[in-house]
Amino acid sequence: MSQSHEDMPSNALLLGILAALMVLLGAAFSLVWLPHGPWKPFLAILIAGAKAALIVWIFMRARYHDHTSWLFIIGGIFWLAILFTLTFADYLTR
Amino acid sequence: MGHLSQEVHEAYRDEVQEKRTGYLGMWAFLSSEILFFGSFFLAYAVIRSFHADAFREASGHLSLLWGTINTAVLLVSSYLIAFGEKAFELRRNKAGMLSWAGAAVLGVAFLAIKFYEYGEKFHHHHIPGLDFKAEDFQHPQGAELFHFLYFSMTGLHALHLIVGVCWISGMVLWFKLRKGRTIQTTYVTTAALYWHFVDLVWVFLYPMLYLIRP
Repeated sequence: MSQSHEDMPSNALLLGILAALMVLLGAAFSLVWLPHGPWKPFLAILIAGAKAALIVWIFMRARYHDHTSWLFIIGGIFWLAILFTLTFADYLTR
Repeated sequence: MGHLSQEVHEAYRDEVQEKRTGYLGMWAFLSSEILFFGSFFLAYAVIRSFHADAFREASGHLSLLWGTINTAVLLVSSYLIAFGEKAFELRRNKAGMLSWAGAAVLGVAFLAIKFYEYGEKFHHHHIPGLDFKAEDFQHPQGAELFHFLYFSMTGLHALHLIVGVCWISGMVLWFKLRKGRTIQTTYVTTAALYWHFVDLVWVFLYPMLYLIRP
């Protein structure tokens, strides 16, 4: 049996992802000099989320995985969402 | 389209099945790690909702420069791991080993910077519970909680990174000892997934700890 080149990213794509990650890091770093506001932490987490998506999608090859691996990826995030939702449903309604 | 071949363990039908099983097992472990770190992220979110000003003030006492450099170091190391993983799969073992050795060196550099930052915290007496100089902060209670979370989260992350550095270095050494023999891509992909996950955790720790400064 064999494994094809189709389930691995090209060198150009890997370099492109690194460049995109560095641009996002620069964007997050520059947030410090923007005026303070409640939107700033959310924007910082949003940028972190974009970085994480690139890492998971290409570096961790989620793009090339079959559905069973996705079950665990989404499962982990789903249970984390339950943990946050139920905890804050308590704290924010006291 | 080119094809690769490798040794397949007897429990598996072929290398595709073995690799899928490796991915699945590692993702199952990583999903448990998401919840492990998630409990710390949750504690951070809850405590910060009560001490937002104190967290902003305490974040200003961390080194933004070192935090940003460390983020860049880990992102480059993740690229090297991904590049090396592909090289191993294409049987370019020398390029793979060089790439992974570079990633391990960057991992050590990250740890060195982190321990330098810890040293600065010791120097400034900002160690929660042991030696915390409350007069440096307008909101000492919240600032001490922030530092408690800072040491817990970055310490736990550093422990994971130490495991990653040992794992990656050990594999490079093992590959070197095997010389020209084929390398199980399942071993490579599971180690790579672990390293990227440790990088992912830091990607979120960076804005939570360093970027909320006033």
